[in-house]
Amino acid sequence: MNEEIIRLENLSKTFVSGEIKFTALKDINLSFKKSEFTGMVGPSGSGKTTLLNIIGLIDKPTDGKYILFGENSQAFNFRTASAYRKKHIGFIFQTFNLLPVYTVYENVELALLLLKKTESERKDAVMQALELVGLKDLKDKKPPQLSGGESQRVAIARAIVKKPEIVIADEPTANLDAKNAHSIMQTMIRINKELETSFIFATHDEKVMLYLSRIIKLEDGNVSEDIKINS
Amino acid sequence: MIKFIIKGLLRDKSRSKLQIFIVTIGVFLTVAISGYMKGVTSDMINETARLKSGHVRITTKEFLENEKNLPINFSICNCENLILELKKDFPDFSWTGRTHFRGTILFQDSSGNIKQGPFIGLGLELNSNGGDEIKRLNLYKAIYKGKLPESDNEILLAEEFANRIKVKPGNKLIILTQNNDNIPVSKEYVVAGTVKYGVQAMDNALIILNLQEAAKLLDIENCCTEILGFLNSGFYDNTICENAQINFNKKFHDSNNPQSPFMSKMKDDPEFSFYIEYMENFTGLMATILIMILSVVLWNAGLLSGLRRYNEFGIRLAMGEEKSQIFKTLLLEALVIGIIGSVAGTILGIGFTLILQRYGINITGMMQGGTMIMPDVIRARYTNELLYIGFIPGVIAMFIGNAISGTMIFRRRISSLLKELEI
Repeated sequence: MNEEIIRLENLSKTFVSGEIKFTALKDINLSFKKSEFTGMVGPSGSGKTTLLNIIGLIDKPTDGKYILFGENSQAFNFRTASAYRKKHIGFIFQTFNLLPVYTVYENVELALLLLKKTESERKDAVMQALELVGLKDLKDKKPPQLSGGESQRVAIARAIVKKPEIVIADEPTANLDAKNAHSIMQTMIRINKELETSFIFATHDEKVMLYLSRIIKLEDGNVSEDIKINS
Repeated sequence: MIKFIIKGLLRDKSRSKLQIFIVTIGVFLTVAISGYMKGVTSDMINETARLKSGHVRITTKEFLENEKNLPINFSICNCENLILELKKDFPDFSWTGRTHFRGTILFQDSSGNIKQGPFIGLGLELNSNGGDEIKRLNLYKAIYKGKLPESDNEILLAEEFANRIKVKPGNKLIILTQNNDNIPVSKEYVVAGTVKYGVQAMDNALIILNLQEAAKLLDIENCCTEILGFLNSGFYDNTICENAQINFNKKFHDSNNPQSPFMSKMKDDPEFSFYIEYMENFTGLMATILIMILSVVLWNAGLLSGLRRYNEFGIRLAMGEEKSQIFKTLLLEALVIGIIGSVAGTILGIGFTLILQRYGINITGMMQGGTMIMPDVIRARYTNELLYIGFIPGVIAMFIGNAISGTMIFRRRISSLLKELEI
């Protein structure tokens, strides 16, 4: 439970566009432990998404260190970063981003296809993931036939089907009504407990904060507060 | 993963069926239009061959070198036997003799005065070979007034010429010329009819009479000034003609004897050579323009197809699939779509060309009242280049279009890509 999986040391990120420099993150020092349910909150432009992108190996820091599972990510090339994402990190997006021509089952299966799992391994894992999100009966439906809440559940199933250590979710409830948002958060808490998956969110949604075990507040690229909540 | 991609390809109509349809239509149009243009230009070349030069032509070297003077004393003799040998040795061709000569005609005008004028005589096989020359020269269609000659003392006149000298079918006129020994000879003929071709060579002071009658008049019996060979395929083929030329000249031509028969092919004549090359270049240019249009259309289709899938690629990248792997699948899909569409388009295009080659488009109605002689039926022409003229650009343009869109997507940093996707 106390095993550290992510450590950020003096991490900074600066974007350069022509002569304009914008520092999105300044000297961030954070540590994430296994099965934490963490939310990063803050106003727009505070650096939440940039930090999620770095943690998800989608972007690289300009300065400082990002240690993932004890490895310095600065040494990762594109291929290594892809391999880490493929195996260890799941993503949940604000706009679900399901592939509309594939069924629910196939959308979830994609993560395992990339890992070259056998058909029977894929079948077991996909059905288990769909059961966890309560969508077993909708496996043959296609995304356009689903509601927003159902679509986000499929996205969750797709993120957790490979049993990653980390799931990164950027505003996962932003496009959902209160009822669906609550249901989605409950589902993620259940997965967090059952699979010991670490969840890291970026969110504006105050309702989401009620479910978090840790809240990191970001302001102008700095960590202004890091609150651990005992549930 | 391949199964997964194929499923997506089959289910996403805009990614598969629409793309294949666009490639098929583009390739079909390129192949069909190229085949049609090839046919039209071939018809125009063949028209010249039929009226004037044949696909290959046998004369004596001496006649060829002095052709402007139409020296009948340099005619080919023993024509009947030579034609029999030609039929045996070169079965790809049909053969006929023709005789060109010059002279003066004497005719009576409406006031009863005797007038005279120059003419060019053309002796044709009007009564033999099952009427091949009549068909070849489209004489039934070309008859403007009167009828075809039925006896040796009947002749045809070019309509323009007949109008100029005010002679009508049924009128008599006297042909005055020189025979093989340069002795003046004359004979009275009846005008059976007039012909109108709309081409200078056939309308200007032309008199047509039976080949054997011309030989009798000129005292060159069983001789003719030229033997023309026409490829049975109906289309000029320089390679076949060149082979025939080499083999014939090896067997029959004696370079030390300027009166021995010598075969030349259509392309040897600088005027025709220019014409054929012009037609070939024109067809080539049109095909290139078509290919360029096709390429731009398919390139854009490929580009749009790739860009439409921006979202899918972003998700796949975020999930850990490598850029190179996605790029490979994108190109593989483009290749499959390009090949399926190009094969279908080529088959349809060639099918259309073959149908149009066999049945043609009858333009008689459109040409009524026209002065230009054209074949009744315009046909397309199948050549082997139709097998690849649409296929290659079909596959390559699709491939390049997808490759460019793929490169444009993958050049972006993944974080920018995901930001643009609002992921």
